[in-house]
Amino acid sequence: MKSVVVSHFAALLALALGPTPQVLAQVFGEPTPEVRAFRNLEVEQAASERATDSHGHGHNHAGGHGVETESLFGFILGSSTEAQGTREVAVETVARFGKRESNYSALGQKLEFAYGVTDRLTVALGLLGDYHRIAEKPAYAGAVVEVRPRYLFNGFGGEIRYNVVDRASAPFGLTLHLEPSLAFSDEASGLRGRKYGSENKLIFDREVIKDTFFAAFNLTHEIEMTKEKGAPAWERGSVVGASMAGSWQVAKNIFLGAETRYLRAYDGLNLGAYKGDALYLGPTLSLFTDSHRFLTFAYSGLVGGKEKGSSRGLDLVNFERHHIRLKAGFTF
Amino acid sequence: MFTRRHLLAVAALLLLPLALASAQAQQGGKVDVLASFSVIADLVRQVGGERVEVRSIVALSQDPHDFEPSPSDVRRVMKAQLIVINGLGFEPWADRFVKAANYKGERLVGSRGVKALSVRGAVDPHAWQDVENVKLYIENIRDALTKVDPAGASDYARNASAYGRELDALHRQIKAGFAAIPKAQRKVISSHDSFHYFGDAYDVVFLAPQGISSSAEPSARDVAGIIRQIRAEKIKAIFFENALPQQLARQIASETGVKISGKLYADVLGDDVRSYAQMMRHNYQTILGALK
Repeated sequence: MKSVVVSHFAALLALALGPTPQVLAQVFGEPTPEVRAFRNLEVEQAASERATDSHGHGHNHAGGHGVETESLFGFILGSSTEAQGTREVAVETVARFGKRESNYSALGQKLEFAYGVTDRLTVALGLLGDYHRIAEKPAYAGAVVEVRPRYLFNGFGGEIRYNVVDRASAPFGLTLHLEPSLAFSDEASGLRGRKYGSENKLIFDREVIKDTFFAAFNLTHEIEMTKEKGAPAWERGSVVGASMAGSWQVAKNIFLGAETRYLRAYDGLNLGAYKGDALYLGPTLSLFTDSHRFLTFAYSGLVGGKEKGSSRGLDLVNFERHHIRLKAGFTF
Repeated sequence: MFTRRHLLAVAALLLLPLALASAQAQQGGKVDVLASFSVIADLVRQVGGERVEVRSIVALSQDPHDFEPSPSDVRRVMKAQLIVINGLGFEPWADRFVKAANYKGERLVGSRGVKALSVRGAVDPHAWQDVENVKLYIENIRDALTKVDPAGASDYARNASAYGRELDALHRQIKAGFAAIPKAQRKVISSHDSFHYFGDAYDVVFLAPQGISSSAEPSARDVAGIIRQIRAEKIKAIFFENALPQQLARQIASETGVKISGKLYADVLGDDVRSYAQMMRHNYQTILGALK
């Protein structure tokens, strides 16, 4: 009896002191279980997605029941809108380099706050920033007004996105995207003044392969009225375009893709005199995290198009040679 | 500092004489079996019949996932002649429990031999949600009881065989019932993460509710996400571990037409389901009724 009591006391002491799992793992002698594959692949997929689906608010970027496509591509947008009550804060930077007549660097930034008013309607407000550095090339001396490097607060922007057709319940998604802005400098020349503009898009997209491959098609109509400081009159211009993109989920939450944009520039708001066209092509990369952060990078190089009346290749008067877009944000 | 562990030790020491006396009183009586939780306890009862006295370590009101042994649980271990757990990592406390109590009796991992599912890199322990798996549990329990109580071997074999036939019938019934539903319609939303074996065995896809934490009451925003998911996946029924507020349930039902369906039992038996077979039949009938 004494030995029983002693050993029992020792065991109770072990319980009190919390013996190490390594020692105790031997007690039940459970062998490592043999693991089998799921018989039903759809059940397996649903099981594997639970970790990311169980928390959050429906803004599921990569995997599960509806990848959010708004920021899945690069310059091209997807049709998704924020779920009702969802908020998003994002910083978008678009850099443009390379003009024919100048050493041209321009960078437009937007700090944006978006809100899902309903599942179908998202509105956003943003603060705009602008950087320009324009130096003339010797061969074109006097052709452009130089802009010394400077960064300035450039006004306000907004966004209204209305999802007309929900991709979840139709073969494709369709969203009307309006992006009005009030700026204090001209986007092209970098000169101070006043600019009213709006970039309007009709966005189509489709989930070609579930959770894996997505395609988008945008029709674009940009209008702007600009009056540079000291200029006698307003200048009006517009750009129309069609663009398409594809994005493939190469690893969890990582999408690689490509996109191409065809743009035509006109004088006037109603597609007046044609000025030139441009064809851009480039890769895209989008990263998402389970904690609803995202990062989208896109590069577009000018590969085609021509200025009206010019015998030279590529329209580097109305467009730039290189475009880079970087957008990072999070939803909550 | 006098910690909870010290309290456990002192309490167990005080209970020691009583436990020893009780253990002696058991000799010649029923086989004393300790099961880790209610589902395992019922399986032991089905095989052991009148020859065994089965107690569950985890009470019906407790979540087996969160269970921590108390001093009174230590006393139970002292009495037991056989301890049965599910295994597959479901009872991480079990090893520490028996070691600390210096338990020398028989112990059984009920799921021994089951080919487990791996979900997100971890073994899913809820193997009992596939009735076919439980037939292996029954064989294991029969053998363990026979080892502890050889005199009851024929009883255990007879009980196990009869219960095995009941499980076969139950498995066929569930299979046939879901087979009558088009496969594309066999999708439900469940906040519980315990039905992978059930889904794989009976071809029912259990999708996680988007935007819903199992512990938090869903907000209107969460509900909007669920409605979107229901439409996208053409869901017929949703099951929530926690009761959905009536207003939100009505909103989901009115906007999507799906049923906010009843409770599913995953890890513990309850007042509505007093046995494993009842639990499986209840879950099957509840899901089937919602899908029809």
